[in-house]
Amino acid sequence: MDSKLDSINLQQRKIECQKIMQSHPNQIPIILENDKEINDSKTMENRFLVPKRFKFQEFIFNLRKNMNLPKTSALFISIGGHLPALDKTMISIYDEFKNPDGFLYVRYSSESALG
Amino acid sequence: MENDETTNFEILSANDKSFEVLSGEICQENQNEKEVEIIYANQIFDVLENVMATLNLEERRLRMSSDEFYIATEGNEEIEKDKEAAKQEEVNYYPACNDETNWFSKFGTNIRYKLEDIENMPIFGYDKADFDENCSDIVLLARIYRISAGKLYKRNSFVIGNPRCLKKKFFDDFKKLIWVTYRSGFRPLQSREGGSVKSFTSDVGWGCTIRVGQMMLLNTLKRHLKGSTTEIDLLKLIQENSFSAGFSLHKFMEISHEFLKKPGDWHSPSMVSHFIEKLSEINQIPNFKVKVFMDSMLYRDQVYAIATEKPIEEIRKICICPDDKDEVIKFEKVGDIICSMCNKKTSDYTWKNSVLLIFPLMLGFKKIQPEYSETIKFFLSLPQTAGAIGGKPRSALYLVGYQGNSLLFLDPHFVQPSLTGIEELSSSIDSYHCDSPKLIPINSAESSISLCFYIKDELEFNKFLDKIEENRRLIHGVILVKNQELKQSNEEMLFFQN
Repeated sequence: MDSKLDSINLQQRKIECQKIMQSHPNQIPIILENDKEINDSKTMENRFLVPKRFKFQEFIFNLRKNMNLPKTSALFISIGGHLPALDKTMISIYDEFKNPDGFLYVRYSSESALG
Repeated sequence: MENDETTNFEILSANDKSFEVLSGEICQENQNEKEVEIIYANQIFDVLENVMATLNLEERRLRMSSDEFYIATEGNEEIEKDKEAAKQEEVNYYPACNDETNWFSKFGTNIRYKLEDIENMPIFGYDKADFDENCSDIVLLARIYRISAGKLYKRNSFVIGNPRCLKKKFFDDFKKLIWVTYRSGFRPLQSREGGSVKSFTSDVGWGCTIRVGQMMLLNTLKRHLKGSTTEIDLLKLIQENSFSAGFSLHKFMEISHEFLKKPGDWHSPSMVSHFIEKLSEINQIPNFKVKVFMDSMLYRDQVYAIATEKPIEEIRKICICPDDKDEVIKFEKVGDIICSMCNKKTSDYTWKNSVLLIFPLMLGFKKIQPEYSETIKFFLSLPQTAGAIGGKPRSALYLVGYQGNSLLFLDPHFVQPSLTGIEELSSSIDSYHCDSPKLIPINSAESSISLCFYIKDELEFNKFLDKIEENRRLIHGVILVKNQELKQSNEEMLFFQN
């Protein structure tokens, strides 16, 4: 999961995360990763701070806006190999799936095409 | 294959651009199963014969010279001419063209389909709808079929009866559904890639999601236009060789470039949902609209706007609360009647249109997550259901119901010749009906799925929303109902860099 950040020391990331959380106590630090299978320029690695009381669905809604995705494109976000229910709050998802370094890693995944 | 001693059976199927080799031991070496082997072997030969007969392109098909080919490019003069011709004659058919280039993949596809049809066939076989004494209920587009002793008793929403009668009734109903499959030998579709131009005269191996979309649309339209149209008129809408067909494969491909797709590409259920929405705007069907909702969100104001044909700003100003709710009290204030629920004034509106709602969803990775299996069954048993564009990994299927923990589906992976005119259409209407109800376990179904609902009028819409509200636990937030789109909240997401 944290393959992209292997080069950065876990301790370093922890400190970084703590700094961010101290300056934004009501926010969750999230790192958006690309699905390895997709090679899409739209989905660069991004880092967000999301309000704790946000529902997962609000997060998706804001993400769509920030990524400038057209309304017709599918946007599916997975966390820890799981697709959370849309009415879950971000804080409950964070508690369940947070990385030891304190960040929440989410993954952009594509829909399967069928032939 | 002709060799009697052969115990291995191999089929090359072209479900992908590259050939995929399926091999399986159809006949096992076990002596006790010798009899079974013979039965299967005979069935396989029947299938081969059958498939060869259907794929042998007959002489009735006209041969065309290559310069007469239809070229699917925008602004082409030929198209302009064709448009005029189409106006003069309501249904203008192109002659079919001979298509022998990919006979091999067609052959493989059809053999596979026929093998899957055989009951209890190892490896290939799908489960079939079961009518044993103690089998579970079958649900076909919200109609429940239940085994019981005694006479056949039927209502709109359920049928009860002894196994024999029930089976007959179920098969009758199942055969009434419109089944759309791969077709071959239609006017060529052109696809440009780099410098080379590829020409497709059949959609074998790539068109299945579109076929499933067509199935879903036609079966919904059948319900919508009930009584006022014939089945042949419906099927005219998807004829590949007809110019005026509004929902043909060629029309899907004309708009596919907007989604960065071209003929020969695979499509996802959500993409096909958008194709249908787009095509329904171009080809208006009386009192019928299609609306796709992304991200599992259903916005009531948007549904009302397209159903009443009023601007969305106007809808947002007036009360659209359902009338039958007890907590709704209407009171008068400065000449207007105000609703106590939403604090908006009431106003007259009428639902002019029925609406087909489509929800492209992702319910897991490649396979459906176990917690969603009841959710899917719930949605397929709602009276408003129009089935679902789903499938198993790599192949799309039209999901129409379920039995136990398996989904009932119509399979488009069967190649039939493209039809060249109304006469041919009326004589081969059987090719649009399927008589084998097959089942796929929910846990092996594809997780990309588009749930479809046909909402006839406002009453049906409110019933639909009530059902969703009542079963919130079961739904796991797969469809969330909101009055209108979220406003940007005061708290926002922030970006940060290292």
